Amino acid sequence: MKPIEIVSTDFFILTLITLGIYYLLAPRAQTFWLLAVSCFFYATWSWFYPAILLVFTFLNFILARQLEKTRSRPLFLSGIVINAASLLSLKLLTSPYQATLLEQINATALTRILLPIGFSFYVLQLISYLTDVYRGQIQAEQDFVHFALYTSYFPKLLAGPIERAKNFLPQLKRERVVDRNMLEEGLYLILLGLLRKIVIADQLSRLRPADIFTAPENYTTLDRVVWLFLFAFILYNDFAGYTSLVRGISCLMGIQLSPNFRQPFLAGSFSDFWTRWHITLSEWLRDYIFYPSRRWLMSFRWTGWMALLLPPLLTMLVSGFWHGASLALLFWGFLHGLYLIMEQLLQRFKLLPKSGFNAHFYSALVFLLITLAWIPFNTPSVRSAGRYLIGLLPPYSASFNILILPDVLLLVFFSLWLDWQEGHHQDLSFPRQWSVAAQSWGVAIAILLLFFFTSTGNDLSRFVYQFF
Amino acid sequence: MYKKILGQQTLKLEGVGALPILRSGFVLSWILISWILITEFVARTRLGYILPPPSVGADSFEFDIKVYYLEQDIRQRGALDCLIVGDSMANDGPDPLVIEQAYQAETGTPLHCFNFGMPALMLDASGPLTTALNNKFQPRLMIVMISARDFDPTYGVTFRHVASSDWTQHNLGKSSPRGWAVNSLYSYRYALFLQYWLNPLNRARFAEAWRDITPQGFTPLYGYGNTFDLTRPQADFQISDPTIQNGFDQLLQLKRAGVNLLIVDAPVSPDYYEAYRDNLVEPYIQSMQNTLGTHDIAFWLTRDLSTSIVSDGWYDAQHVNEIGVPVMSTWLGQQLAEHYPPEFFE
Repeated sequence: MKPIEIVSTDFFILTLITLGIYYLLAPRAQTFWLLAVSCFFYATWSWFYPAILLVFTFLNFILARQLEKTRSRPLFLSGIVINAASLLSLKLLTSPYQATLLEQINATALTRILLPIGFSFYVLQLISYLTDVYRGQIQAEQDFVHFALYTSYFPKLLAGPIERAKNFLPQLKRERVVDRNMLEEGLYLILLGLLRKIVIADQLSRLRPADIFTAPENYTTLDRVVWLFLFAFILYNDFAGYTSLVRGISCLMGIQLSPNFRQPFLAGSFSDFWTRWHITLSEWLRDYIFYPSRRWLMSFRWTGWMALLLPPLLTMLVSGFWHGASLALLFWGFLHGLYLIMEQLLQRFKLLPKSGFNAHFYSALVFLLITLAWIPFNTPSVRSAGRYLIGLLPPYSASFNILILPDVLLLVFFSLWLDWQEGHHQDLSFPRQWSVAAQSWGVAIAILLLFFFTSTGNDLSRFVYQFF
Repeated sequence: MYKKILGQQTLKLEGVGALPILRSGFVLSWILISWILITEFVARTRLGYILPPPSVGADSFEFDIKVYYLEQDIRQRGALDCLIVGDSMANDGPDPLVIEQAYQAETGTPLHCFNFGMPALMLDASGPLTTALNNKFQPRLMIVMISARDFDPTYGVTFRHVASSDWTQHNLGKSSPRGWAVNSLYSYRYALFLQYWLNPLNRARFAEAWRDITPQGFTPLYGYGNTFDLTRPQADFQISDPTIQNGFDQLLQLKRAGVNLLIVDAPVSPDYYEAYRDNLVEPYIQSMQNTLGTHDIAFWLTRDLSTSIVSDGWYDAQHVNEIGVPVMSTWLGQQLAEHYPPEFFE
């Protein structure tokens, strides 16, 4: 069986069937049904994936119940170590350094180790769950079916959002209601998600030269600059589109998933950026890496420079590693750590602009530096990132395929306009704030756009984020 | 027990009928109806030439343009007298306008021709395409230009899909909803056109093809192309590929079905002929004469025509340029006048 991608006819049919039966069932049966569908959906990628997921789910379910009873720190730490070590080892063994590592541990026969898709996402959920139970912030779940659905819920299984148990599990326990508002929100989120993914991200990806990040020397300075900025728009719309789509589908089941993006390119500072970009991961890193590391340092009364430097650097290095076990991604994390440290220094010396032209200038600088950091994020090695970066320096060459310029400008404008609408209405499903006529025309035009952009010849490429 | 399993508490959709999002269905219907009415009307009138040719979804702009131009041509000028099919040697060779003038000069009667040559359309694809074109447009004479190159399976790979396109398959009698739509609905074809148009690189390719092809399907070549290496080895002529044989058989079948079929040996430059005479051109001509003769299909040789074209009239060894085209087209018009008098086309 071929894997079911999120943007595919198969997924559309699966969702329709799931919803059709879901609405006919009693709440308890709905939970069983969603669990069965989630396992089926995951098994289309590999039968092996749901098996691993269920093993991890069961293990953490038992561990959490024991933790609640005993509050044993060794038990808690062993739970964290099991989850983290699994993630760490699978990330390393599926990294570009796989062959060298296998040679080191005399296991060269293990050449087909696979990182289950979505593993990085649900392991973080399990770690947060164990930690919250241990800290007494939530009670351990007593119902295994509910807990299994928390980890395997198919709309968020492949690439998040990384849900907290305290947000998700209570929704399973109460009656799930899809009323007029929920339906409207869900449909708009789906529509906006598809627009971001298919019309903006996929179209920009099609226009992008395939090897610009792997063989930058074949391109002019202007090409590299333009495509670096456009990569930011591709990545953003791809992932924000995915999140919007799965949140919309979940709304139709009466389950609210957390938002992941909030106009990130309008961020006023680096720390502000991380409250707008991949929000559920940023919050996870803040709550389970940044704050604990800072508290740990403070327990040694290291409240000065160490507390300023180490937590952001450690947090962003972990973020880099989570995205992929490669030096290039660690470098990406290191850069962001550095940015955060610089910003904290500016804040400490009261040099951070708060309003006026300086604040706008700083905001533009933040966007520029974040864009530069996408180079190691998107290149296969630090060396190729360096080559790309050097190519941005003089001597300049300035030819660019002018044919694609109107398309590129329109798509970027469309992306920024969607962001502006979200911000202006303070609503991620903003069209519902429009007048009736504007909504009717807006939806009709959106459907036509989707029809034209999903032509048979077009490849609906996979989401960039789901392979982390 | 069933209450534990079944329940309908989730959906609470009071007032959902008034949701603005649902009203977009009406707007969408209104847009679609307007689209259908406008495209179907405009494409069927003289205004159709103003619009860019729509797509039949065969991944070939040349094919899209020729299908549309042929439809418009028949709509404006009536039934077709002769339709020329073949590869680039046909596409860039005979100019229907010159053929018509030459024919009229000889007989005093107008002729209506269209050139449906396609770049790299080899026999395995031109066989089914010729059948489909005959079924759809019913020309009084079908002229197929072929050469020894048609029997080489390594040529024309990129254009083979035209023969298996929905448009061609529908006209070969293998119907499908999409095949029907690309044959009958301009609104659908313009929607496909827009889908291609969304890719800026497609737009550039389309503009180039649209600029080059004349309303009668001819694509002129100007000046001189790359020098052809006449010393490189050429494969011995043989019919070995089953799909090519199948394409050739389809032409023979057309003749059996009563279609007036004329096969013309596509002219090559005298140098090319001399370089590959013994192993390629002569064996191919022998084979054609034997096979086509037994099926009573006319086969016109073009050796004399080739030598009558001055060396400056060749774009390359296998294609004529703006100097060679009038010579070749006039010859074809005169030959048609001699062998197919006006009564034949009545």
